Amino acid sequence: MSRHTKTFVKGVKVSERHGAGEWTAERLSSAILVPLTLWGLWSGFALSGGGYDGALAWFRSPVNAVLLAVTLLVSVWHMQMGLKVIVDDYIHKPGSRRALLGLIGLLCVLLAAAGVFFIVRLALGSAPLPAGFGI
Amino acid sequence: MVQLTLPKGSKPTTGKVHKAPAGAKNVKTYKVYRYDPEVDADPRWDTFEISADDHGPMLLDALIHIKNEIDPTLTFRRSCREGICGSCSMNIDGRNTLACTKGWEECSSSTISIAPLPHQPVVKDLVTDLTLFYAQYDSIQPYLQSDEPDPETERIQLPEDRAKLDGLYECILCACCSTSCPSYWWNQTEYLGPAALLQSYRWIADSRDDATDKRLDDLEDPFKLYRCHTIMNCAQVCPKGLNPAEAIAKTKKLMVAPSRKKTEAA
Repeated sequence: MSRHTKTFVKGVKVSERHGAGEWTAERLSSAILVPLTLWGLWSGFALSGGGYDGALAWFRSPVNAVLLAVTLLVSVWHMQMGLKVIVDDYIHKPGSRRALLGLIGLLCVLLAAAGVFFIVRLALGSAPLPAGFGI
Repeated sequence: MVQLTLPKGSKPTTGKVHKAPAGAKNVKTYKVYRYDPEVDADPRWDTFEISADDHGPMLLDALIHIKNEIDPTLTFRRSCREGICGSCSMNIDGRNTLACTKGWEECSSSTISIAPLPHQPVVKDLVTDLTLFYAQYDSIQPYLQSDEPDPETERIQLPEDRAKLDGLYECILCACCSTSCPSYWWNQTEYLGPAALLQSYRWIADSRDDATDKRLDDLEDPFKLYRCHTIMNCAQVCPKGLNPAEAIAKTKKLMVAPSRKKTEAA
């Protein structure tokens, strides 16, 4: 049976034969985020005295930049899965469900792309925004 | 979207009040849900004031007293009156349980509410339509499936393997757990619910059953199994003290166990 096809026998749904992978991904991302979030909080507190230049210097460390990018990507991935669970739970009209899941996916991709873009710029020692944008 | 308001015709109104006779002692007040979909536009709460001295210690005794002495039209299921048939499951004092094992003295409210199991179609008064609930139980194939030829005598099982069924085999299918589960409320057409999933695990955990991989395949679905978000209402209300959420968690672990072999889809 193809994925996402719903069939029912005597009023009871026939298994779509997937779900364990999604379950594993939810737990895996949670587990990865535990140390990364602690590291992120610790880094944030450590930066508090350094001012703007201190923050820029922090981003120029490849270890910091890579860890921050990983934290961001795993967070967005985890958020996307969590929001999907909420939509699946509460939104029952197939059209509304598809539209919302599409919107969530798009927002997550935009968030991840924008975040990685700024992290890479800062890591390479550039100003946060390209020339001509903002200050 | 989720329905945040009750659909028309399902908001209970205030019904009849049956006062206790003058001079009655030890009077308890019961608020009982009444609804006959064939006749009534809306359900209503009828109030019964009865003396606890006139009936036995359980809520079912109170209901039988009401039916015998005050209002013979009150409709409810009951059979064994000892917590083994699962017929008299209902929502008492805001919590799903069996009327026959719940003592009126255990209820803290001054007015004890008695309502049908939540989120099920009402047939009449406290009787709900459990057709889907039973179909879900039927779908998990609740019987032994062995590759071994039928033995002459019983199938032998080690005591430690038999012990794995403790906390599972006791389920009486009263539906208290499933109908207390918010995930089942929102998605019962696709989510199997705690009762059917506990029963399914009862066969998955059975050392004599050889259909484990097939059973797991039949459960692996984002809705049939994975709508369980460990809310734990099931374990809170189970009148037999079982823990369906734990059985579901064990099923989820087996789903990703290296020992699992996927079978061909039918």
